[in-house]
Amino acid sequence: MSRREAPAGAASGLDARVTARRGELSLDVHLTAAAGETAAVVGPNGAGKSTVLRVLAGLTAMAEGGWISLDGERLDLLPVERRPVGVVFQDHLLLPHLSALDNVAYGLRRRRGLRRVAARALAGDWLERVGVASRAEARPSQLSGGEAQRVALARALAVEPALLLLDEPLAAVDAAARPTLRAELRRHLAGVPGVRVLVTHDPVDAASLADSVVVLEAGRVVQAGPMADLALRPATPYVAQLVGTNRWTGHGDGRGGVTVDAVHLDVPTAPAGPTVLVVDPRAVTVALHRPAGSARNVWSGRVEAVEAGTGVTRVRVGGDLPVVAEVTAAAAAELALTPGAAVWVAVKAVAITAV
Amino acid sequence: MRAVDSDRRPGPPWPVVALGGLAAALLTLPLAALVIEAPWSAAAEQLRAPAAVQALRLSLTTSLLAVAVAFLLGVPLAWVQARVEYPGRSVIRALTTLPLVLPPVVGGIALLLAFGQRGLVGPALGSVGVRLPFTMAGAVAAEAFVALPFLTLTVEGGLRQVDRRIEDAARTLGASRWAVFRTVTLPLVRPSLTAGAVLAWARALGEFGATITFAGNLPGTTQTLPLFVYVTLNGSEPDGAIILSLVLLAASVVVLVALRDRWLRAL
Repeated sequence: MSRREAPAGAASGLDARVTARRGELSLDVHLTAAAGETAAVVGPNGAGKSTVLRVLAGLTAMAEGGWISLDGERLDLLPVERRPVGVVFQDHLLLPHLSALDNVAYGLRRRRGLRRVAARALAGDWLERVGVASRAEARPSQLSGGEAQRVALARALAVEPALLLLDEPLAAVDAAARPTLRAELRRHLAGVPGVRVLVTHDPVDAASLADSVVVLEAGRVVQAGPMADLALRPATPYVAQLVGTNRWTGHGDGRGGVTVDAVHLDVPTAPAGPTVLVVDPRAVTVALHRPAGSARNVWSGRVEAVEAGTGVTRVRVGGDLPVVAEVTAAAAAELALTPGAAVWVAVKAVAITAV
Repeated sequence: MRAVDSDRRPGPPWPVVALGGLAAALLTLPLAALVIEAPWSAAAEQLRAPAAVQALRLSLTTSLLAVAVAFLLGVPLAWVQARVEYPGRSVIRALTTLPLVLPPVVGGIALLLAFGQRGLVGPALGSVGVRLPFTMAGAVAAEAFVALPFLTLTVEGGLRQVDRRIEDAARTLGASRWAVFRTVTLPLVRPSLTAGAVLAWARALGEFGATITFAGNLPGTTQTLPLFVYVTLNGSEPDGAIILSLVLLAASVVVLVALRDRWLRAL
């Protein structure tokens, strides 16, 4: 990690050295992201991910040596309430005594100085945009997890933050509602002109929502860069596990089909238009002959790399649609997988997450 | 023959029931007697008596002022106790809770020794024109002294229940610390504020010992309702004392009803 001093002005986007001391944890993280970009901060529990967000928001004091520069201005010199920041908290943290509408209006009045009537009108627009306009008068306790998180998102977006911070925004949402909300989140994030920083422990979130990834372990950056770069040379087993995830961008036909490069894939549900697909490498099977089973997503390729781990072998297959598969060491030996071998790859439709 | 209900328990042991019944009788009989024996026909007349009206009005004024003082000082104290970690916090909590269990007359003497003319800070107060003993302000001070702990303890408990991350969230929405306190913290502890204020008011309204010791028994100035009741009971008009006791009883019932969610349902 570079130990350089705070950069001097003009740079657009986020450039921060986030430092904090909290009990055992000593945090020292260099974080950069351009405007319009989403940086994911990932890492195991206790790595200090959420503390990074709290320091950026000003809720936790920065330790010596840190700085936060946003569009060339020193954010860390401002009190919490004056930072141009929006935060989506893990368990939404809506103000329990206010309606959904007034939760969104709260920030509009406090941060943007709007009058009550104007703030409530604009808040209504935001609830509409995140799809919970019908719940405007509900108290947070009456909202479902997904609804509450949508309101929380509207509340953070409404203040038009130059820096949007999301702390495990999907963790408190039940599994059934998560894919929909993830897709919505992706759409809303794309509309935020500022910098987005997403904290998550879920590789699918990181792969589907972020442009670049910073991997934390014990308060330090172990690797950073675009997801694809990390996949080439994972620095730690944790990173390997994280970035092994296959991520493709394709075009959905709106009827459960997505075309990626030359390959047409069947997925459980997919929107029409640009679509991101995420597949766990353990869900990818590799065979020497074209499989005859029910898997309809089948294509051929050549083995590019074989990397043996403990009990698990990672196989990179190039061709029409490059893919990483994880097979047992025994299966890899049986198939005699070596670089250059011609193979068939199959993925079940249900194993594909479309965002 | 009915099948034996396996969940049915044996009847309660009779000595426990008997003693419990006795306790309930001890608590309710005097109140029943007060209601039954009261000279109801004289009620209207007694309530209109100028001396009674004066005592009633004074009691309302002083008790409400005492609650206002308790609110103004007690809420910040509760906030500090709930939110600020400092050495000796538990000592301060013990000392500020003491008036709850202190004999009120001892509180009155302590107030005299502090704020009396030859007391610890009395002369200093006197030099800036503030005189507490044997004044209405003194009666308010005595009532606030005994009522404050009810408010601070209740509000401190409420503040500890507030999820501070919600206050954090409000700050990220552009609210200053003071704005957060006003627009988030206080609304969230409103049930505690109400309960604390009602309890403090009930305690202030019934205050006797500290008031008579510190503020005296001056009609129209420091002779609050309980003092007036005590004096008239031993004087020529015991009927008036009983009727005004009913007024105080009614106030207590109102307080109990107001706090029913907090107390009675929790049991």
